[in-house]
Amino acid sequence: MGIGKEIADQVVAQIQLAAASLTFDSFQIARRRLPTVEKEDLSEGVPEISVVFSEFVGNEQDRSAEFLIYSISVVVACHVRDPNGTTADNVETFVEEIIDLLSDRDLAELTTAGGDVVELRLPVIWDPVFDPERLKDGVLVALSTFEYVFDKSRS
Amino acid sequence: MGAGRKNKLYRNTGTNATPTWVEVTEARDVDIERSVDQVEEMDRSTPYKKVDDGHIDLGITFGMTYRNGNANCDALIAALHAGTVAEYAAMDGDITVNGTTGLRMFGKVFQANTSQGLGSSDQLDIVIRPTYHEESAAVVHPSEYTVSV
Repeated sequence: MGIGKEIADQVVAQIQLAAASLTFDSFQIARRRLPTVEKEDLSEGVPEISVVFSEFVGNEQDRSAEFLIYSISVVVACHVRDPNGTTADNVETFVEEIIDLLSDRDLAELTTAGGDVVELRLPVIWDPVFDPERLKDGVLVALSTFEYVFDKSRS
Repeated sequence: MGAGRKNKLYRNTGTNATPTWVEVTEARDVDIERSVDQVEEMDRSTPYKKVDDGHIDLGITFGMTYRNGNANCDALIAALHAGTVAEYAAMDGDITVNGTTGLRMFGKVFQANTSQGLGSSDQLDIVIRPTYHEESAAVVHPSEYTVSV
């Protein structure tokens, strides 16, 4: 069934759909297991988004059902020349826009390709805002995590 | 040893004599309440307080997952509004299996609170207390019921 990867695919699709309304309308995005964060793999000033199915936790709901909690990490990486410059500012704004997009009530439920409906559980976690060690190397990496819940029948 | 999901809670859509048991699979934690009123007996003959048993207090209280259109949720909420008397059984296993034991009683739903927490699933909190009920001109009392098949 692969609900986890299907949720990640839907997150990719929703970000792609909204591209024209985001600070960067030109970016790379894909579902991955290993985020693209190395400078040699990035084009300067072009964000690379990796959507990762990163964690799975089961939580017994009642005698016949279980809540399955899927964590989806959205990793935004961008090669920036100046850590305090406009491009870096825009990348942070871009991450906020993606969080706002996916947290909107209109997307409180996602339907996967397999027809399963998952609900976003707030709050979204964006901590730390960026990785300072990677920024010293000229790459701004920001990770935000979204929890999606699936009500799985166990009867 | 009973454990969580192995226990089963039922409501009867038939009669006491010929039951049709519907499992409330949405139940979460279920409490079977049994207590006896304490009637004090004191006189000057002794400094010690004595008590005797009064009436027995029973109840089945539980939380359950609320889902829109769910038959069990709808039935329990409707029973509260209509004052419906129905039979319930809180068992330590499957009611079709020999030896399964639990409290069986006719009762009314006296509480059906819905919680709609922002970060949690919707939940119904149910309280059922025993109610007078006759079948075939005979009173049906609550009982500790053991399945014998």
